Amino acid sequence: MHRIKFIHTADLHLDTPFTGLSQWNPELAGKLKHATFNSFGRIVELCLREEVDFLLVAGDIFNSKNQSLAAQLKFVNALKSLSDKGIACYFVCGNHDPLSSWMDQLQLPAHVHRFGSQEAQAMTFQRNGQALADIYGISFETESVTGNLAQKIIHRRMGQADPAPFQLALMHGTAGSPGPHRNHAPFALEEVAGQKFDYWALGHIHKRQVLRPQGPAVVYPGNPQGRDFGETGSRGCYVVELREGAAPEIRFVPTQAIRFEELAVDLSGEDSINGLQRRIDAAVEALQAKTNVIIRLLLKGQTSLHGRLGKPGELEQLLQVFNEGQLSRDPFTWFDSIRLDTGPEVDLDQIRQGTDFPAEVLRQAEAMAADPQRLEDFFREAQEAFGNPLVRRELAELTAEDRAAMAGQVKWMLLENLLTK
Amino acid sequence: MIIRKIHIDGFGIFSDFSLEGLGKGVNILQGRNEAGKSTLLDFLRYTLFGYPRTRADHREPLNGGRHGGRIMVLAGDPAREVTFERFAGSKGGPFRLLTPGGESSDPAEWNRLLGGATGELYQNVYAFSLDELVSMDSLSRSGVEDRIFSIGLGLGELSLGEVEQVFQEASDNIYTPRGRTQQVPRQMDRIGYLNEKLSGIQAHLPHYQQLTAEIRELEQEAAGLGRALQDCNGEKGRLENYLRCHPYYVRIKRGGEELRELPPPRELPEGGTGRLDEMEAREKALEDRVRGLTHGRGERKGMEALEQEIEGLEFNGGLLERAETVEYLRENRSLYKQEVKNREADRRRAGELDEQLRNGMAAISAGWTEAHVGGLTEVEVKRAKLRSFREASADLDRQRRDLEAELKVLRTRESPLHMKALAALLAAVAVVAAAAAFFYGLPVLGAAFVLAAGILFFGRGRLARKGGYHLALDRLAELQGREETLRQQCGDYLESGLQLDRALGPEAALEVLSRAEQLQAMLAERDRLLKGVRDSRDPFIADFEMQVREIHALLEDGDAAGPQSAEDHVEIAVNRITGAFEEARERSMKKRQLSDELGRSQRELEATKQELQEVRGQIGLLLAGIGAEDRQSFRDVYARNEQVKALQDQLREAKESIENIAGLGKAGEVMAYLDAHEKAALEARIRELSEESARLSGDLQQMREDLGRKKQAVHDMEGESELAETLTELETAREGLQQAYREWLTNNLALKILGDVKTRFEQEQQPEVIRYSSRYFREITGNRYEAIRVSLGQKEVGVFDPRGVARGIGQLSRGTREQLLVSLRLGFIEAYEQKAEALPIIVDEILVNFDAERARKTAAILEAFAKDRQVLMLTCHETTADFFQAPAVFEIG
Repeated sequence: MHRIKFIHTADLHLDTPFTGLSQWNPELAGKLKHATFNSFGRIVELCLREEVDFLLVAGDIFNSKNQSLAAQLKFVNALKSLSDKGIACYFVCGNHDPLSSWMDQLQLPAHVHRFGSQEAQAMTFQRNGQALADIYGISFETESVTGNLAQKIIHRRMGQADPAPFQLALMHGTAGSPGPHRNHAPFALEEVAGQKFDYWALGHIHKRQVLRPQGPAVVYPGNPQGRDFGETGSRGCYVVELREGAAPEIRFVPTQAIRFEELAVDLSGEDSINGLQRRIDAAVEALQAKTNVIIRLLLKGQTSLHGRLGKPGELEQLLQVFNEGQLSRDPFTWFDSIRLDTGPEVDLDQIRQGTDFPAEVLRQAEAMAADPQRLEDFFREAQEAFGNPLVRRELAELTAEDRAAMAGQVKWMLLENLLTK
Repeated sequence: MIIRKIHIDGFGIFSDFSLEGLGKGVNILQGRNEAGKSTLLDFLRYTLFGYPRTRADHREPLNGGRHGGRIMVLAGDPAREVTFERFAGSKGGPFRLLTPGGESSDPAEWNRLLGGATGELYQNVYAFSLDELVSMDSLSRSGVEDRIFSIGLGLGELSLGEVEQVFQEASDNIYTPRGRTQQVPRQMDRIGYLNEKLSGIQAHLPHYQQLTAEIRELEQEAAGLGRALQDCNGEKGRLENYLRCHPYYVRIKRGGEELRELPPPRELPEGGTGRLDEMEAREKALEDRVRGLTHGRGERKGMEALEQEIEGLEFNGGLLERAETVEYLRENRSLYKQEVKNREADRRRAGELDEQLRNGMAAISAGWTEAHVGGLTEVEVKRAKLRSFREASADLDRQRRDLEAELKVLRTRESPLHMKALAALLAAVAVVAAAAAFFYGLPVLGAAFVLAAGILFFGRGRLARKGGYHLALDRLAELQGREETLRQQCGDYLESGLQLDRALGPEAALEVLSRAEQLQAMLAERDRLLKGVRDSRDPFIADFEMQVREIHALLEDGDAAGPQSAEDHVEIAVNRITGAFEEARERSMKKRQLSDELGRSQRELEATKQELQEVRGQIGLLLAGIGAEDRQSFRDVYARNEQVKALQDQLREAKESIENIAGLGKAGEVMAYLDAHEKAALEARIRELSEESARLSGDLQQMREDLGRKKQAVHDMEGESELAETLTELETAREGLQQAYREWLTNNLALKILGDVKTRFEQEQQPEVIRYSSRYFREITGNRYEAIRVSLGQKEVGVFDPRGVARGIGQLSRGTREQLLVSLRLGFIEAYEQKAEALPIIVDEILVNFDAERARKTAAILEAFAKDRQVLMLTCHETTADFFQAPAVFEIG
């Protein structure tokens, strides 16, 4: 019975930045800048440790927009250590690292195969002279590919005589409903179902997911290192074992060097800083990160601490206490920012029933928050008054959720100022 | 809502306190200072709206009781009796609503009964005190306006302006249109800097690609250049070697010519000239030695000199022959000197002893001579005899004296019979006493007496024993006879035995005997000394002096007789003798040494001459060996031979040098090249090649440096990447900007909402408040002022008199300002209660700064106001009640 074992990863985004951090800390930056490389380094180590037959990388190895030299060089260097041990690597280029953006000078080590972009190619993995797997793949030529690359692969396979025991597809693209990813090689999951493939190794979507467990297995491994607070949770790669006549065995192994988490802590009824600390500790404990973690903390609920937390410098001081000495620990737990969505301990119903000024303000704020159009109007107008075009160019678009959240915050800010004096 | 009854379990100074009978209209709660009016006000507020968060403000009971109490009111429509009960505790404190129908803890029900009013509103509007009026007075003009405006909005003490300012400041800290120090411009500066830094890093990638292409090209070019340089340097090196070979080439050419002019070399014995030199050197050395031996050289004397010296050396041979005697004299000269001294001493002592002897003998007896002294023998026997005479005489003498003493005693005793009779009588008495004792039955005593009587009676004879005086006289006579006999015997012995006077007696004779014994010792000593001089000292001295004289005569200037007897002269003579003897001996030894040396020199001279002869023979043989006539021609033959060989060696060495430079086996090639080329042409070619080489290596060096720089640049780019770090920092700065933006938006949204509500209040609610307030203010001031106006935009409050003249707040007196404040509150309450439950109004000493007329007018307004409401007026002035028409007055404390 034939069997092969390989690692499937994608979206390495080597040498790319971390976004959404609120405070700049040079020591932390020193750790962050290596994080994408370190995570890929762990994948390479895993290949050696698991003694896999080969490594599949489904595109977006680096970001061509960043023009990183180190990304390409270090990627090739890391593959060389695999090549030296006789472990092959097959990779395609994605929308962030289209084939045209790769350096001509780059010399790929032996046993490393990059798929072209014109047509789907087939490469055969052999062990001891025996063909074990046919790997079909195709790269992005430019950052936008609207064509159906999956179909190209399927057609290419149809022309293949004398297939090897296992049939694998390797591509970067969007499976299922494309949504905003129309330019990223979309295809329908049904297209590949029932085709005589064992495993579709995909890349592009950063959230790992096994779209089909078998017949064939269709898998996104996600990116092995989260790079902002939108990419939270454990991240890594899949170790896959294929046996003839058996369902693929797909095992996730975390490899991230630093994990991102958004942590919401409800402070309702809490009235001491020690209690606040305990609740936060418990929430961090519940994460069971077991690795370096950067946390964006959201404090919620009505608490008597609201006034104190809202004082200028108070949150910065808290952050300082939380982060004291953290970066010299291994693993560390770093709090990037604390966002307040707390409110004072007041009875909103009682206020709402009144007819005085605070009651009117509360009604007005709540009405505003509940009316997206009004909010949008206000924010559009306000945005025009904020800064100059250069400043506005740097700003991200606010979503309706953002606006509603801000309106909610404003409600508490107003009540805090109107009631507790 | 009308408060009917208050019951306090415990609150501040109150404990189990009740106030009943309160009702609609004005209720004056009157009490002296510290009676608890303010405490009561707080109790009402806390019970209705909850205890404050800070425990310190709870007003703990000072006199016991559970902390809290109840307020019974008439409330609702239709009005019904409800009791609000609340005790201190967290979150406002636990409460209960007690109604006739039961009880409830529903906060919604409670709030409904209070008409939705908040604690803040109640405190701000319904319950106002003199304190508040006083605090108003200390505010600035704009502050007062702001406060009045806030009251107009129902905000009481809270300043809306301050609240707006909080948001405005927060907003301005983030961004203002022309600000440079706010968060936004700072973040933008950072973003600009980081973008620039990033461009530098990102320029690496295209640059890298270009550089690697250039490096490949340069490496190929450098390789070609390197090969050309190598060829050029190769030829240059070869020709330089030829040039270096040129001197050797010249040497070989010249050497060949010289050799042709010289005879061929002969086979000669090895080292011939050397051996000749050696032999000649030996010959010369031997000749020198012969000369030296004969005539002397350096320290060493020649044989001639030695013979002369031996001739001149003379010494005293006779003296040397008497060496033993001279030695004897030297060894014994001290002894001689001592003996002369001893002889003198002995003679002197013998003379002294002789004198003493003569005197001693004369003392013993005139007739005594040395013969007597010398003849005295057996002295101890004689002394014993004399001692026995002396002791016998003494014994007899003692016996005689004892007897004479006894005679004297005996002469004094008359009759010994009386003693006998007395003893008999006493014995008789004892017998009687014994009889009496027996008679009286005392046998022991009786026996004693019997015994005593016996002793006395039988012992009486002893008492009467007879010595006899006559008997003693007889014995005395006998003793005297014996003494006479002893004297005769002693005299005989002295006379015959010792030739002494017989009357001398034994004691004196013993004395003479001792003296004679001493004289005998002296005589023996004198004789011994004289014998020593005669037998020992005199012969030694005479012999010594005789020998001195004899030897002294041998000296060259010696006197044959020598010194006679004075020992001083003898000593001088001995010294001269020993001195002369030493000198003679030294000269004799010296002569013998010189003779020995002369002998040795003669023998050596013979041997040297022999050796010289041999050397000269050998030289002759050496010359004959190569057929040389003399030594010079011998040398010439050798010299020519050497010259030929040296030339041959030079030619060989030159060839070797050429091969060392140009390589083994290359000599022929070099010689051929140099035969064909002039030296100047060779040098010119080398110069050409040097210039070519310098040019090529310069080019290559430059190319390598260029290559090195490019490779270093590539290496640097391949190293640590700052890209991700800089991008992350840029993203962080953008996030900071984004957050600032959000914060700015929220603050502006807050300002917008505040502004909207304020505008609506100003438009919808305030006109009504102002209308009511104006009416009250007009009434209180007795039409002194006509109206209150509030500018919506500028928050300005102004009052107008009937003529339409405006006054700012700052232009009003304190009392007038307070009246304006009371008017505004009443106006607000009237407007507010259009749509809400009327709540009791509590005022505390608000009339104190009002003049009597305005106080009365204010009281009238309050009474009118309280027509359908309840007003609780707290005061410590009893006169306050006088301003009202029909107040209900309650005493507190």
